[in-house]
Amino acid sequence: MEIQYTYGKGSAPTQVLLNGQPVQDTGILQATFPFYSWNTITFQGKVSIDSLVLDGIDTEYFVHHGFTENKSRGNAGQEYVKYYFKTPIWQWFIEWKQNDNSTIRQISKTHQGFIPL
Amino acid sequence: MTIQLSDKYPKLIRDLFLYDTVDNPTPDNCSNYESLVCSNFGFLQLRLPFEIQIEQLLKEAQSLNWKDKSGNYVWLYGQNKPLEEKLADGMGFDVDTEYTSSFKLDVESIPAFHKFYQDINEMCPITDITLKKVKPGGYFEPHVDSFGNPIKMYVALSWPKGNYFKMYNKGFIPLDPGKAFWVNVGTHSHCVVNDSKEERIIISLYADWDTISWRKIVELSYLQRACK
Repeated sequence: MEIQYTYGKGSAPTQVLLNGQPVQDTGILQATFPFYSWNTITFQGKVSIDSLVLDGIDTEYFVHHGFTENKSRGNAGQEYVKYYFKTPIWQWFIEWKQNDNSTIRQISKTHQGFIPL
Repeated sequence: MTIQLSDKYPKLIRDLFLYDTVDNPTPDNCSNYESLVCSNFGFLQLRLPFEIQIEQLLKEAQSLNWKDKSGNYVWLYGQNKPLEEKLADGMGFDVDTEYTSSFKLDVESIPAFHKFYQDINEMCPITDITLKKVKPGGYFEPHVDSFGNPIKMYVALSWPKGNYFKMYNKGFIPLDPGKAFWVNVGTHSHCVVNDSKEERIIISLYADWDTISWRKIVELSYLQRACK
């Protein structure tokens, strides 16, 4: 599976980890994951992530749901930004979007602020 | 059913069409209207108590002054304003806040639509009805509709071979012209593709479904459903 990502302006990455293992920070990675497995990609350093394309599928605003060192969610961190994703990507991403647009989630967004799910 | 689309469509759509093998539009154990609505069903073919004048509806749809600002569809009824203003508004998602079921068009020019509208409206008040057109090669990416009203009715007026309405984990809706479907678009991700060389046109409508006559139609349709 191919992973493509782009950094935001002013990023100073120090290392990229796939499932905790360092990989070359080339912007395009090739990786093999077991079917139906949760995986992580971690961008270390002072970084922001503008795009993350997994298996040819642009994950759009999912980039703003990364985990960061300051216990919030977003696409930018002073130390790292980490994303969880599951294979197969098409299924995980459709379900993620479906949940993100669910009624409960919409009410959360409207009335209680951001609730990371 | 799975379908292999060409590379001209986004990978997310291609993968959804190719790998989502689930074909389960409605559960089998619903005892009444409430249990169906609460079942997270996908879609249900409707048995309406009147005939849909499909040929006349298509002719009228084709005779309308379609404006194609952002591409795909126009409001026909719904907003309490003249058709010309609705067309000028384009898609109207953000401006369509004043819902009404008043009939605002010159009905003499579109009698089949008027009849269709009245037939539905007698059973349950229509809040909004639109015609939607997708050009050859057009598509909508997987999405979930606004949660304002989760269930929509679709009637295809033209559905050339190569058109698909795919609902994740539920299957492809067999939207042949003249068939009416009740579709849970507010719960399940769905997308459409027009992989044909012709335009396709559908009627899409929201209504206040919670009426006694509509419940009966849904329950009868469920009992007689073909898409088991």
